[in-house]
Amino acid sequence: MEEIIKSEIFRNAFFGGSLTAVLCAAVGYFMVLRALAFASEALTDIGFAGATGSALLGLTPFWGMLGLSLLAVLTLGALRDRLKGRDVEVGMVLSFALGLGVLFLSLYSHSSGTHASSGVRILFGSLMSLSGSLLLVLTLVAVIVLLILAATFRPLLFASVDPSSARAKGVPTKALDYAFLVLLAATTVVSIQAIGILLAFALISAPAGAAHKLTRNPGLAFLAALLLGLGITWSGIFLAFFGPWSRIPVGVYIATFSALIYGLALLRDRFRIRSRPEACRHNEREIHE
Amino acid sequence: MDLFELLHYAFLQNALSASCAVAACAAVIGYFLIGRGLTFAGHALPNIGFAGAAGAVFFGIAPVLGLFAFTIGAAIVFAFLGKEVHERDLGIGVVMTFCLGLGLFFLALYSGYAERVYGILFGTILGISDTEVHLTLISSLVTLVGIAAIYRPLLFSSAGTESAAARGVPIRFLAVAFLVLTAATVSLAVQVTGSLLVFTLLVGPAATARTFSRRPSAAIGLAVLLAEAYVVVGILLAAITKTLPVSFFVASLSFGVYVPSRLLQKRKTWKR
Repeated sequence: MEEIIKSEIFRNAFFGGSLTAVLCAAVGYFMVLRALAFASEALTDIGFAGATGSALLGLTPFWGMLGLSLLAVLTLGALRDRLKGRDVEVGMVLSFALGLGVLFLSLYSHSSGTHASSGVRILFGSLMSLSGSLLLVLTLVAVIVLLILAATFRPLLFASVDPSSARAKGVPTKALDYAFLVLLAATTVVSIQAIGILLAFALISAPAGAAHKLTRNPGLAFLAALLLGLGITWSGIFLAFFGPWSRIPVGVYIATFSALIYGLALLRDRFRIRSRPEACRHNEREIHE
Repeated sequence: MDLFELLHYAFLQNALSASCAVAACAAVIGYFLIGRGLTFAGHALPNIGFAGAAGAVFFGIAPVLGLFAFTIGAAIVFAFLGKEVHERDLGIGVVMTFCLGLGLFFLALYSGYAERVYGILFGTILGISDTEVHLTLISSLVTLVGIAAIYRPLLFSSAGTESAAARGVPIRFLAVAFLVLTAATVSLAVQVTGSLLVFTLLVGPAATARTFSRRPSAAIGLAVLLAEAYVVVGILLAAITKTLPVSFFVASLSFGVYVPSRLLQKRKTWKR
C-alpha cells in the first residue's frame, strides 16, 4: 500500500482528482443556482468535438476542447442572454457540435486507419493516465478560474440568485453571465481531461446539487459542495487503487457516489418539506421561486 | 456516382425507409418534448440506452432488451423528478451520469469485442437488415398510434399543467405515458441511427417548426416534413461522399435551418 501511495500514478491521480473536485464543486454551485445543468452537460459533449477535432489536426486535445467550448459558449450567449429555462438553443448547439465530433472522428479513423471505437477512449478519460505536464496546465487553468471566482464571488452570487435586483443595484449582470459561462467552459475542459467526457458532468452537478438541497445558506452550501466533491473523488480513487475489484475504473465509483449523494439529499429534502404544515410549505416554495 | 443508380442498392433503400419512419416519430415526440421543457431528457435517454446495451452485452442477452429496460426505467424516474424544470434537469443529469457509470462498469468487465455497443453510440444506419426495417416500421407505427391516442390531453397538459389538472386531466399518467413512449422511440431509433442522431431528430425539426407556427397541428406537420427532408438529404449526401457520416449531415442541416428561422422569429416579435 505504501508503495502505491508513493508511485507517480497515484500522486498524479490524487492531486488531479482533488483539483477537479474542488473546481467542479465551486463552479458547480453557481451552475446550480443559475439552472444551467443542460448547458453544462452540453459543454462536456462539445468537448468531444474539440477532442476529436484536435486529434484530426494533430493538436493537444486540451486546446482544441478549450477553443471549441469557448466558441460554443459565445454562441449560446449570443443566442440568448439568459439561458435559464430555454434549453432548445442549448440542444441545437449541442447536436451540431456532436455532429462535428462524429465527422472529425470518422475523418480521423479514415486517415489513421484506427477504428471509430478508439474515440470511446476519449469519452471515458481516466485519472490513472494523467501525465505530469498535463497536470501542470490543468492546475494553472484551475487556479485562474478559482481566483476569478473568488474575486467576483459576491456580485456573482447576487446576480445568480436575484438577477433583476442585482441589475437595479448596478451589478453588471450581462458581463457576469458571459464570464460565468467562460468559467464553466474552462472547468468542463479540465474535468474532461481528468475523468472523461461522459462523467465530467457528475462532479459538476451532484456535489453542488446535493449541497443546494441540504442548506439554503450560500456560504454553508458552497463549503458543503466542496467537501462532498472531495469526499466522492477521494473515496473513488481509494477504491480504484485499493479496492478488491482492480478492473473497475475510477469513473464508475465517482458516478455511483455522486448519484447516491444527490439521491439522498433529494430524499431528505422531500421528507423535510412533507413533515411541515401546509402553509409553511407553501411559503417556502414561494421564497424559493 | 449517379444518384439514381445509388437508389437501386438495397442497403440505401433500407436506410431510407427505416430512418424515415424513425424521423417521423422523433419529430412528433420532439414537439411535445420541447413543449414540456424536456429537451435534456431527449439527450439523456439515448445515452442511458447506451449503458443499457452495454449491460445487456455483458450479461450475454440481446442489446435491445437492455436498451428498453434502461430507457423505460429512466423515463419513469424522470416523470417523478418534480415539476420545476430547474430541479428536474439536475436530476436527469445525475441519473444519466449514473447510468453512464454503470455502462462504463459493464464495458470494463466485459472482455469480449463490444462492437455492437459502440455501434449504438455512433449508429449503423447504412448497414441495417430487412427484418430490422420491418421491426422499425411496425414499432414506429405503434408509437404514432400511441401519441394519437393521448394527443388532445397531452397537448392540453403540456400547455398549462394547472388548468389541465383542474379540468381533471390525469397529469401524472400523461407524464409517465409520454416519457415511456419517448423511451420506446429512442430505444428503437438508437439502433438504427445512433444516439447522436436520435437527439438531433428529436430536437432539431421540432425546434425549427415551433418558430414558424404556434398552431400545434401545423407545427407538428412541419416538423415531420423537416425531419424527413433532413434524413433523406443526409443519407444521400453520405452515400455520395461515402466517407462522411450521416449524422454529421443531418446535424448540420438541422442547425443550418434552425439558426436563420430563429433569428427571423426574433425580428417578427420585435415588430409587434
